Amino acid sequence: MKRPRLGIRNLSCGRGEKALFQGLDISLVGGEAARVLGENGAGKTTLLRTLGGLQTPLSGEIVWESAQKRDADDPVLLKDELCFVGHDNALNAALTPVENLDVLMRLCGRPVAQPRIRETLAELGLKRLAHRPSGRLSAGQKRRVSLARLWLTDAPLWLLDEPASALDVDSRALLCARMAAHVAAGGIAVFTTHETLNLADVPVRSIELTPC
Amino acid sequence: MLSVFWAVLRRDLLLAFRQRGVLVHHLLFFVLVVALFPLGTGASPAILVTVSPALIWMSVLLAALLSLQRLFKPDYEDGTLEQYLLSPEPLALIALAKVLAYWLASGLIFVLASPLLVLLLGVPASAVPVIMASLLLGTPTLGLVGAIGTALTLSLPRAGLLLSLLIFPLYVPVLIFGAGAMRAAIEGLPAAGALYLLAALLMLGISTAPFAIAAALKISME
Repeated sequence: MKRPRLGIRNLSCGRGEKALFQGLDISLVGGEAARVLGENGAGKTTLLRTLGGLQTPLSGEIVWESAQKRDADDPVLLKDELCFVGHDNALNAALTPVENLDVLMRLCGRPVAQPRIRETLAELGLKRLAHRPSGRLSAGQKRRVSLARLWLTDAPLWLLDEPASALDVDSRALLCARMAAHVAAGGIAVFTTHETLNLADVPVRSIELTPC
Repeated sequence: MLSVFWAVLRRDLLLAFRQRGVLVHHLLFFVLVVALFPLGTGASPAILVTVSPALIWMSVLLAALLSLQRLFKPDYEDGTLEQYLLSPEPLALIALAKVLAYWLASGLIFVLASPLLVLLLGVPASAVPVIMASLLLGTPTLGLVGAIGTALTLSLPRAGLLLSLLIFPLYVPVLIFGAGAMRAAIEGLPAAGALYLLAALLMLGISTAPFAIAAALKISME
């Protein structure tokens, strides 16, 4: 089976005219994870947002080669194969976790049935909270609901910004296991983290951002 | 593609229903502005009927301005807007769904409340259908145009004043033809011309505003 590839060539990102980092080159293929390293303000979030297409790079390019084949006029784009878990949880406080996840999965073009969302929430220990307004959950519980997308999606590319923030030890272990399984199955995960995330048995590369 | 449109529409209508207190606030604001006005003009029914088109439309504009500020703000704050932008589906379609949900939960309520208010102002009952038609055609345009402004000012703190400076000039055509249709109906003249122009403005809005809203949201999220 063909493996997907994320190519980053000579990438410079920043706000306005000022670059945060310059000349980033890396190529990731399916079956590899990458941890973005750098001090606070080095541009870790900026890099993830740029990879997702939320921000335009100052220079350089991002190439996505999908494992799926379609003709050259209608290629499978990075957007079609992306699961992006940002800094914010993307949960509306007045909607329940099930309603929030239902909309989020439809937005990324991978709708899932509600029973499956409930099952996934139960697996993550959130069964009792599935039908409560999300605004009443604790920070860690909200994060777990937001991360439940990783169990519902089959997108090959994951961009995760501080996925483990506010998580307890058990949830962090679940997250690590899920990320490792995704990468082992031929996916790519690019993440930033301040906690240690131990992805056993899968190669984790480092993307070092040095301020310029 | 349409499944995302319906999903966003359903989500926002559900939210509007859960937070129906907000709807009541906007409706009360609209009603109070109209109800307080006669206290200032004195007890002359003739004057009230003469100024009623301007009064109704200005109240609608102010109520729209008040409610528009919350159109994208919650999504911007909780990170859902990021997910709209990342979606493989067209952002313009998502924007259109949001504006439609917004209109159903605010503009349409004003349309339904308007007969009572204009009758209170002493407008003849024969003018009510035209008045409702003008609001029905005009308020969605206000929502579409206003959404461009609110999308542009999303990342700014305290954007209310800037928003009004941005969108009030663009509301002028709707105000002219909307109030024009109402005035014609009150005087018993044919109002079809103004209504057709309102309909044309609405079509222009539906076909172009979603793309402008999408572009503005992208700029705000950079």
